[in-house]
Amino acid sequence: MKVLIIIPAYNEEDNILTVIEGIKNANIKYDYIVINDCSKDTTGKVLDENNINHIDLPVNLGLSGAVQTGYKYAYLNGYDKAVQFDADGQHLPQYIPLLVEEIEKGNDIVIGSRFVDEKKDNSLRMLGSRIITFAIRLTTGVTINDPTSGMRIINRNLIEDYAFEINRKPEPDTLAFQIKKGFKVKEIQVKMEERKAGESIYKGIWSSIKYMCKVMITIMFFN
Amino acid sequence: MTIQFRVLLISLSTLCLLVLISSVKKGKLRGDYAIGWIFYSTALFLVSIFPQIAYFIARILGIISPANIVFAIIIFLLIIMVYILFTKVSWLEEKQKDVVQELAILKKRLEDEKKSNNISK
Repeated sequence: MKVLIIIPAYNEEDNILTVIEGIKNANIKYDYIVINDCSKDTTGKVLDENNINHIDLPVNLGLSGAVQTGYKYAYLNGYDKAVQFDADGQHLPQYIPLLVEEIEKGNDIVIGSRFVDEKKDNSLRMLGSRIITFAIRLTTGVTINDPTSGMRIINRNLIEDYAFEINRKPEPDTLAFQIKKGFKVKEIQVKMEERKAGESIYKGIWSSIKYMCKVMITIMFFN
Repeated sequence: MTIQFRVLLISLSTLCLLVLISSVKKGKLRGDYAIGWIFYSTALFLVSIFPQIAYFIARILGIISPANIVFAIIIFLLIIMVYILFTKVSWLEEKQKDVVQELAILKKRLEDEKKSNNISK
Protein backbone atom coordinates (compact mmCIF):
# COMPACT_ATOMS: atom_id res chain seq x y z
CA MET A 1 0.00 0.00 0.00
CA LYS A 2 1.67 3.16 -1.23
CA VAL A 3 0.64 6.63 -0.12
CA LEU A 4 1.87 9.82 -1.76
CA ILE A 5 1.69 13.25 -0.17
CA ILE A 6 1.27 15.91 -2.85
CA ILE A 7 2.42 19.37 -1.83
CA PRO A 8 1.66 22.09 -4.40
CA ALA A 9 3.89 25.10 -3.80
CA TYR A 10 3.86 28.57 -5.33
CA ASN A 11 6.25 31.14 -3.83
CA GLU A 12 6.70 29.27 -0.56
CA GLU A 13 10.45 29.69 0.02
CA ASP A 14 9.86 30.59 3.70
CA ASN A 15 7.51 27.71 4.50
CA ILE A 16 8.46 24.73 2.39
CA LEU A 17 11.42 23.54 4.46
CA THR A 18 9.46 23.69 7.71
CA VAL A 19 6.63 21.73 6.11
CA ILE A 20 8.98 19.02 4.82
CA GLU A 21 10.78 18.87 8.19
CA GLY A 22 7.39 18.49 9.85
CA ILE A 23 6.51 15.54 7.61
CA LYS A 24 9.88 13.88 8.28
CA ASN A 25 9.64 14.46 12.03
CA ALA A 26 6.07 13.22 12.24
CA ASN A 27 7.59 9.82 11.61
CA ILE A 28 5.26 8.80 8.83
CA LYS A 29 6.60 6.47 6.20
CA TYR A 30 4.74 7.90 3.22
CA ASP A 31 6.45 9.37 0.17
CA TYR A 32 5.96 13.01 -0.59
CA ILE A 33 6.40 15.15 -3.67
CA VAL A 34 6.48 18.92 -3.93
CA ILE A 35 5.07 20.42 -7.12
CA ASN A 36 6.83 23.72 -7.68
CA ASP A 37 4.35 25.65 -9.81
CA CYS A 38 6.99 27.80 -11.52
CA SER A 39 7.52 29.94 -8.40
CA LYS A 40 8.94 33.40 -8.92
CA ASP A 41 10.97 33.29 -5.69
CA THR A 42 13.72 30.84 -4.71
CA THR A 43 11.42 27.91 -3.90
CA GLY A 44 12.99 25.88 -6.73
CA LYS A 45 16.51 26.53 -5.46
CA VAL A 46 15.56 25.63 -1.89
CA LEU A 47 14.08 22.36 -3.13
CA ASP A 48 17.16 21.53 -5.19
CA GLU A 49 19.68 22.36 -2.47
CA ASN A 50 17.92 20.35 0.20
CA ASN A 51 17.39 17.36 -2.04
CA ILE A 52 13.64 17.39 -1.63
CA ASN A 53 11.70 15.14 -3.98
CA HIS A 54 10.01 17.57 -6.33
CA ILE A 55 8.71 18.35 -9.82
CA ASP A 56 9.34 21.74 -11.40
CA LEU A 57 6.57 22.89 -13.71
CA PRO A 58 8.08 24.90 -16.59
CA VAL A 59 4.93 27.06 -16.82
CA ASN A 60 2.68 28.34 -14.05
CA LEU A 61 -0.48 26.21 -14.17
CA GLY A 62 -2.27 27.42 -11.05
CA LEU A 63 -3.24 25.39 -8.01
CA SER A 64 -5.44 22.88 -9.80
CA GLY A 65 -2.89 22.23 -12.54
CA ALA A 66 -0.15 21.73 -9.95
CA VAL A 67 -2.19 19.32 -7.84
CA GLN A 68 -3.20 17.44 -10.96
CA THR A 69 0.47 17.02 -11.85
CA GLY A 70 0.86 15.31 -8.49
CA TYR A 71 -2.06 13.00 -9.22
CA LYS A 72 -0.57 12.12 -12.61
CA TYR A 73 2.74 11.34 -10.94
CA ALA A 74 0.92 9.24 -8.33
CA TYR A 75 -0.97 7.35 -11.03
CA LEU A 76 2.12 6.71 -13.17
CA ASN A 77 4.12 5.50 -10.17
CA GLY A 78 1.45 3.14 -8.91
CA TYR A 79 0.40 4.87 -5.71
CA ASP A 80 -2.84 3.67 -4.12
CA LYS A 81 -3.67 6.80 -2.19
CA ALA A 82 -2.79 10.43 -2.59
CA VAL A 83 -3.00 13.17 0.02
CA GLN A 84 -3.19 16.81 -0.94
CA PHE A 85 -1.24 18.85 1.57
CA ASP A 86 -0.63 22.61 1.73
CA ALA A 87 2.90 24.02 1.55
CA ASP A 88 2.13 27.02 3.76
CA GLY A 89 2.29 25.21 7.10
CA GLN A 90 -1.48 25.24 7.70
CA HIS A 91 -1.83 21.48 7.64
CA LEU A 92 -0.35 19.31 10.35
CA PRO A 93 1.31 16.06 9.22
CA GLN A 94 0.34 14.07 12.32
CA TYR A 95 -3.21 13.88 10.94
CA ILE A 96 -2.20 12.14 7.72
CA PRO A 97 -2.19 8.62 9.26
CA LEU A 98 -5.75 9.28 10.49
CA LEU A 99 -6.81 10.16 6.94
CA VAL A 100 -5.15 7.00 5.62
CA GLU A 101 -6.88 4.92 8.28
CA GLU A 102 -10.29 6.24 7.26
CA ILE A 103 -9.70 5.60 3.58
CA GLU A 104 -8.70 2.03 4.34
CA LYS A 105 -12.15 1.56 5.85
CA GLY A 106 -13.57 1.92 2.34
CA ASN A 107 -14.15 5.63 1.91
CA ASP A 108 -13.22 7.17 -1.44
CA ILE A 109 -12.44 10.69 -0.25
CA VAL A 110 -11.52 11.69 3.30
CA ILE A 111 -11.33 15.36 4.18
CA GLY A 112 -9.33 16.82 7.02
CA SER A 113 -12.01 19.13 8.34
CA ARG A 114 -11.82 21.97 10.83
CA PHE A 115 -15.52 21.91 11.62
CA VAL A 116 -16.73 18.41 12.44
CA ASP A 117 -16.78 19.03 16.19
CA GLU A 118 -16.02 22.72 16.25
CA LYS A 119 -18.21 25.60 15.16
CA LYS A 120 -17.46 28.07 12.40
CA ASP A 121 -16.85 31.66 13.43
CA ASN A 122 -18.74 34.57 11.91
CA SER A 123 -16.11 35.92 9.52
CA LEU A 124 -16.78 36.61 5.85
CA ARG A 125 -14.67 33.62 4.88
CA MET A 126 -16.84 31.32 6.97
CA LEU A 127 -19.96 32.83 5.45
CA GLY A 128 -18.59 31.64 2.11
CA SER A 129 -17.92 28.22 3.60
CA ARG A 130 -21.49 28.07 4.96
CA ILE A 131 -22.96 28.96 1.58
CA ILE A 132 -20.97 26.19 -0.13
CA THR A 133 -21.94 23.67 2.57
CA PHE A 134 -25.58 24.63 2.03
CA ALA A 135 -25.33 24.34 -1.76
CA ILE A 136 -23.75 20.89 -1.50
CA ARG A 137 -26.44 19.73 0.92
CA LEU A 138 -29.12 21.10 -1.38
CA THR A 139 -27.82 19.27 -4.46
CA THR A 140 -26.55 16.03 -2.91
CA GLY A 141 -28.19 15.73 0.51
CA VAL A 142 -24.80 15.23 2.14
CA THR A 143 -23.38 17.69 4.67
CA ILE A 144 -19.75 18.61 4.20
CA ASN A 145 -18.80 20.86 7.10
CA ASP A 146 -15.51 22.10 5.68
CA PRO A 147 -15.81 21.93 1.88
CA THR A 148 -12.93 24.35 1.24
CA SER A 149 -10.39 22.35 3.23
CA GLY A 150 -7.34 21.65 1.07
CA MET A 151 -6.37 18.60 3.08
CA ARG A 152 -7.87 15.53 1.51
CA ILE A 153 -6.95 12.01 0.58
CA ILE A 154 -8.33 10.03 -2.34
CA ASN A 155 -7.99 6.41 -3.39
CA ARG A 156 -6.69 4.84 -6.57
CA ASN A 157 -9.95 5.06 -8.57
CA LEU A 158 -10.20 8.75 -7.98
CA ILE A 159 -6.50 9.35 -8.57
CA GLU A 160 -7.00 8.25 -12.16
CA ASP A 161 -10.13 10.37 -12.44
CA TYR A 162 -8.50 13.50 -11.02
CA ALA A 163 -5.36 12.96 -13.07
CA PHE A 164 -6.89 12.71 -16.51
CA GLU A 165 -10.47 14.03 -16.61
CA ILE A 166 -11.24 17.60 -17.56
CA ASN A 167 -13.17 19.65 -14.94
CA ARG A 168 -11.74 17.91 -11.87
CA LYS A 169 -10.29 20.85 -10.01
CA PRO A 170 -9.44 20.14 -6.38
CA GLU A 171 -12.33 22.33 -5.24
CA PRO A 172 -15.64 21.89 -3.39
CA ASP A 173 -17.61 21.71 -6.64
CA THR A 174 -15.73 18.58 -7.68
CA LEU A 175 -16.47 17.14 -4.25
CA ALA A 176 -20.19 17.64 -4.82
CA PHE A 177 -19.86 16.01 -8.24
CA GLN A 178 -18.14 12.94 -6.78
CA ILE A 179 -20.78 12.60 -4.05
CA LYS A 180 -23.45 12.66 -6.73
CA LYS A 181 -21.66 9.94 -8.64
CA GLY A 182 -21.86 7.78 -5.53
CA PHE A 183 -18.38 8.05 -4.07
CA LYS A 184 -18.18 7.92 -0.29
CA VAL A 185 -16.89 11.08 1.33
CA LYS A 186 -15.97 11.28 5.00
CA GLU A 187 -14.73 14.13 7.16
CA ILE A 188 -12.52 13.83 10.21
CA GLN A 189 -11.73 16.57 12.67
CA VAL A 190 -8.24 18.04 12.35
CA LYS A 191 -6.54 21.11 13.73
CA MET A 192 -5.08 23.65 11.35
CA GLU A 193 -2.53 26.38 11.90
CA GLU A 194 -2.49 29.87 10.48
CA ARG A 195 -0.26 30.40 7.44
CA LYS A 196 3.26 30.97 8.74
CA ALA A 197 4.76 33.28 6.09
CA GLY A 198 4.22 34.38 2.51
CA GLU A 199 0.93 35.07 0.80
CA SER A 200 -2.14 33.03 -0.04
CA ILE A 201 -3.15 32.85 -3.70
CA TYR A 202 -6.71 33.61 -2.52
CA LYS A 203 -6.13 37.06 -1.16
CA GLY A 204 -8.41 40.05 -1.39
CA ILE A 205 -12.15 40.37 -1.66
CA TRP A 206 -12.21 40.21 -5.45
CA SER A 207 -10.57 36.82 -5.75
CA SER A 208 -12.92 35.52 -3.02
CA ILE A 209 -15.94 36.74 -4.98
CA LYS A 210 -14.59 35.13 -8.15
CA TYR A 211 -13.96 31.88 -6.27
CA MET A 212 -17.48 31.81 -4.82
CA CYS A 213 -19.09 32.50 -8.21
CA LYS A 214 -17.09 29.75 -9.85
CA VAL A 215 -17.88 27.18 -7.17
CA MET A 216 -21.58 28.03 -6.89
CA ILE A 217 -22.20 28.11 -10.64
CA THR A 218 -20.42 24.79 -11.09
CA ILE A 219 -22.38 23.14 -8.28
CA MET A 220 -25.69 24.42 -9.59
CA PHE A 221 -25.30 24.01 -13.33
CA PHE A 222 -22.57 21.56 -14.26
CA ASN A 223 -22.77 18.79 -11.71
CA MET B 1 -32.70 48.33 -47.65
CA THR B 2 -31.34 51.60 -48.96
CA ILE B 3 -28.79 51.61 -51.71
CA GLN B 4 -26.25 53.21 -49.36
CA PHE B 5 -26.60 50.35 -46.90
CA ARG B 6 -26.21 47.83 -49.72
CA VAL B 7 -23.06 49.51 -50.96
CA LEU B 8 -21.67 49.45 -47.42
CA LEU B 9 -22.48 45.75 -47.06
CA ILE B 10 -21.02 44.87 -50.44
CA SER B 11 -17.76 46.70 -49.76
CA LEU B 12 -17.44 45.28 -46.24
CA SER B 13 -18.05 41.68 -47.29
CA THR B 14 -15.69 42.03 -50.24
CA LEU B 15 -13.01 43.46 -47.97
CA CYS B 16 -13.61 40.65 -45.49
CA LEU B 17 -13.21 38.03 -48.24
CA LEU B 18 -10.02 39.63 -49.55
CA VAL B 19 -8.44 39.86 -46.08
CA LEU B 20 -9.36 36.21 -45.41
CA ILE B 21 -7.92 34.93 -48.67
CA SER B 22 -4.71 36.88 -48.29
CA SER B 23 -4.14 35.79 -44.68
CA VAL B 24 -4.62 32.14 -45.61
CA LYS B 25 -2.18 32.57 -48.49
CA LYS B 26 0.34 34.31 -46.24
CA GLY B 27 0.04 31.52 -43.72
CA LYS B 28 -1.42 33.69 -40.98
CA LEU B 29 -4.66 31.68 -40.76
CA ARG B 30 -5.25 27.98 -41.20
CA GLY B 31 -7.51 27.12 -44.12
CA ASP B 32 -10.01 25.07 -42.12
CA TYR B 33 -10.49 27.98 -39.73
CA ALA B 34 -11.18 30.33 -42.63
CA ILE B 35 -14.01 28.23 -44.07
CA GLY B 36 -16.63 29.49 -41.61
CA TRP B 37 -15.66 33.05 -42.33
CA ILE B 38 -15.73 32.46 -46.09
CA PHE B 39 -19.33 31.23 -45.85
CA TYR B 40 -20.17 34.13 -43.63
CA SER B 41 -18.88 36.86 -45.88
CA THR B 42 -20.23 35.18 -49.02
CA ALA B 43 -23.68 35.09 -47.44
CA LEU B 44 -23.40 38.77 -46.55
CA PHE B 45 -22.29 39.53 -50.11
CA LEU B 46 -25.25 37.62 -51.59
CA VAL B 47 -27.74 39.39 -49.33
CA SER B 48 -26.41 42.80 -50.32
CA ILE B 49 -26.54 41.93 -54.05
CA PHE B 50 -29.99 40.31 -53.81
CA PRO B 51 -31.81 42.10 -50.96
CA GLN B 52 -34.90 40.10 -51.97
CA ILE B 53 -33.51 37.34 -49.71
CA ALA B 54 -33.66 39.68 -46.71
CA TYR B 55 -37.14 40.92 -47.73
CA PHE B 56 -38.35 37.35 -47.98
CA ILE B 57 -37.05 36.28 -44.55
CA ALA B 58 -38.34 39.50 -42.99
CA ARG B 59 -41.81 38.85 -44.40
CA ILE B 60 -41.86 35.27 -43.07
CA LEU B 61 -40.77 36.36 -39.59
CA GLY B 62 -43.00 39.44 -39.59
CA ILE B 63 -40.16 41.92 -39.21
CA ILE B 64 -40.87 45.31 -40.74
CA SER B 65 -37.35 46.45 -41.68
CA PRO B 66 -35.28 43.97 -43.72
CA ALA B 67 -32.11 45.66 -42.44
CA ASN B 68 -32.96 44.35 -39.00
CA ILE B 69 -33.02 40.79 -40.25
CA VAL B 70 -29.52 41.32 -41.65
CA PHE B 71 -28.31 42.58 -38.26
CA ALA B 72 -30.03 39.73 -36.42
CA ILE B 73 -28.39 37.12 -38.65
CA ILE B 74 -24.99 38.77 -38.30
CA ILE B 75 -25.27 38.82 -34.49
CA PHE B 76 -26.51 35.23 -34.40
CA LEU B 77 -23.62 33.99 -36.53
CA LEU B 78 -21.15 35.97 -34.42
CA ILE B 79 -22.46 34.31 -31.26
CA ILE B 80 -21.95 30.90 -32.85
CA MET B 81 -18.42 31.82 -33.90
CA VAL B 82 -17.52 33.11 -30.43
CA TYR B 83 -18.92 29.94 -28.90
CA ILE B 84 -16.80 27.77 -31.19
CA LEU B 85 -13.82 29.93 -30.28
CA PHE B 86 -14.48 29.42 -26.53
CA THR B 87 -14.62 25.64 -26.92
CA LYS B 88 -11.43 25.73 -28.95
CA VAL B 89 -9.64 27.87 -26.37
CA SER B 90 -10.62 25.66 -23.43
CA TRP B 91 -9.63 22.56 -25.39
CA LEU B 92 -6.31 24.19 -26.26
CA GLU B 93 -5.63 25.22 -22.68
CA GLU B 94 -6.42 21.71 -21.48
CA LYS B 95 -4.05 20.12 -24.00
CA GLN B 96 -1.33 22.63 -23.26
CA LYS B 97 -1.67 21.89 -19.54
CA ASP B 98 -1.40 18.14 -20.22
CA VAL B 99 1.76 18.68 -22.24
CA VAL B 100 3.34 20.86 -19.54
CA GLN B 101 2.56 18.27 -16.85
CA GLU B 102 3.85 15.40 -18.95
CA LEU B 103 7.04 17.33 -19.66
CA ALA B 104 7.58 18.14 -15.97
CA ILE B 105 7.08 14.50 -14.95
CA LEU B 106 9.45 13.29 -17.68
CA LYS B 107 12.09 15.81 -16.62
CA LYS B 108 11.74 14.60 -13.06
CA ARG B 109 12.19 10.97 -14.14
CA LEU B 110 15.25 11.91 -16.17
CA GLU B 111 16.84 13.66 -13.20
CA ASP B 112 16.04 10.73 -10.90
CA GLU B 113 17.75 8.36 -13.33
CA LYS B 114 20.75 10.65 -13.60
CA LYS B 115 21.04 10.71 -9.82
CA SER B 116 20.78 6.94 -9.42
CA ASN B 117 23.38 6.49 -12.20
CA ASN B 118 25.78 8.76 -10.34
CA ILE B 119 25.33 6.77 -7.16
CA SER B 120 25.90 3.42 -8.88
CA LYS B 121 29.09 4.73 -10.52
